[in-house]
Amino acid sequence: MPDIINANDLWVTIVTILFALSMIAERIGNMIKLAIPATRSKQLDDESEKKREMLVMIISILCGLLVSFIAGADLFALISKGVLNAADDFHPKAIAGKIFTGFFISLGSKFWHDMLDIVLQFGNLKKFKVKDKQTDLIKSAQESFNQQKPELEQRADIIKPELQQLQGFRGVMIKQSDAFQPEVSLVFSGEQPDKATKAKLTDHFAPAPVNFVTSALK
Amino acid sequence: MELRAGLGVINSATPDKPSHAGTLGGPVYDQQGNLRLLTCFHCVFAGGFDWDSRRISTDHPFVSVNDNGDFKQAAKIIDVMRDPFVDIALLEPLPGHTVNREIGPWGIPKSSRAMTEDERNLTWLKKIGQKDPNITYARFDGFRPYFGDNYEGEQTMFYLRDLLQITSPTVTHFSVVGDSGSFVLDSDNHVVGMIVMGQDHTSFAIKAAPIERNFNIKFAL
Repeated sequence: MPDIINANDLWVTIVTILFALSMIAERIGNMIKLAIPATRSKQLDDESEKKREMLVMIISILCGLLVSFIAGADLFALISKGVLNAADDFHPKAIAGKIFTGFFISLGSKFWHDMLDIVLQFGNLKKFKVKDKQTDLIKSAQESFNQQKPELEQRADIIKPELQQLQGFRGVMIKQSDAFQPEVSLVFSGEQPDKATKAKLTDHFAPAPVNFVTSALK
Repeated sequence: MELRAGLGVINSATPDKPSHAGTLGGPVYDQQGNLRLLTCFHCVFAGGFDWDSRRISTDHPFVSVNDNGDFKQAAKIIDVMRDPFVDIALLEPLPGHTVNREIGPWGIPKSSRAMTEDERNLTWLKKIGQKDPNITYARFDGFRPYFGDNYEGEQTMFYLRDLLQITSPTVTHFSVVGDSGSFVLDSDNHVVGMIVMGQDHTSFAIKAAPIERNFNIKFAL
């Protein structure tokens, strides 16, 4: 179990554990039901059928509790930490947690299967929403870059004669930074311009940041 | 003048920009056995050229070679190519200029040779460039799948693929700015590549095989 688990993953973990335990409890319950003649088949009169249903429910709860105690499945530890066992098995809170787990398990594997579907679908929905938001942000940053690029190219053209006089000047590149903002790269082979020239060039392209890059071409 | 490996070379249209100069790599032979010279395309690039086609600039087809500090027009660009594997210009000496077939103190180079991964860190390579110290040695450091840079006048990075990686000891550089075009030789004087790019103490060279293939030339007869 990882130390840090996000909320959605935590619920997926809890529901998966309860689903697995409910399947075990259900299988044990079915075996007991089949072994007892009073619960094996439906009763014809309503009164007897209600009694049978009550008995089946009690068997299910008992099986749930049995599985829960054997597995040491403390609901509170599950919810708070995503772990199956509490540190102290005999703490009143841990015992209460196991009783609650037993009741939940007795709801049946179908219930927990459906619940798992819901939790997983909710998680996917959230992922799609985040993805859509990111796509929108990238799109708008791209549009903003496309709008600013011609102006920066124009400014590069204005200062080009001056740049070409500089020792080792190789070219200008206008590209998007890692943060999708426009940035200007002035490429020099070997020597870089002096501080004053760099400051002047930086001012010329402001507010776009200017990088002074050394060319890898030899 | 005598054109020999290790001299500075630049497009005749830009003699006032020695910082753009590259190195005259050395002699090669075309299909008819004529002596030609090689350097990097980016060293002799000037207005009128086009990176992506093999169009020769009709305005600036000549190159000047460093003759004791003076750049003198001495050769003509007869073919250029930059694709993902090469960045090369093929030069023909102008009448009145001769080609020295030797490379520095090592004599006439032997045919090309392909380096193998097994030779990494074991094989020492050498080159002669136009900058001081012009003769340098370093170890072959395997292959670099790709390495790129901004070529003049372009807005995006261009990446060359499948390069030889040569790493020099930390206190020296195998190649410096201006060494592009230098032939890289092994200890037996086989040509293994040609310097094109570098970063810190690592130099990158174009392999000899794609150069021969693309220009239909040979490093030795």
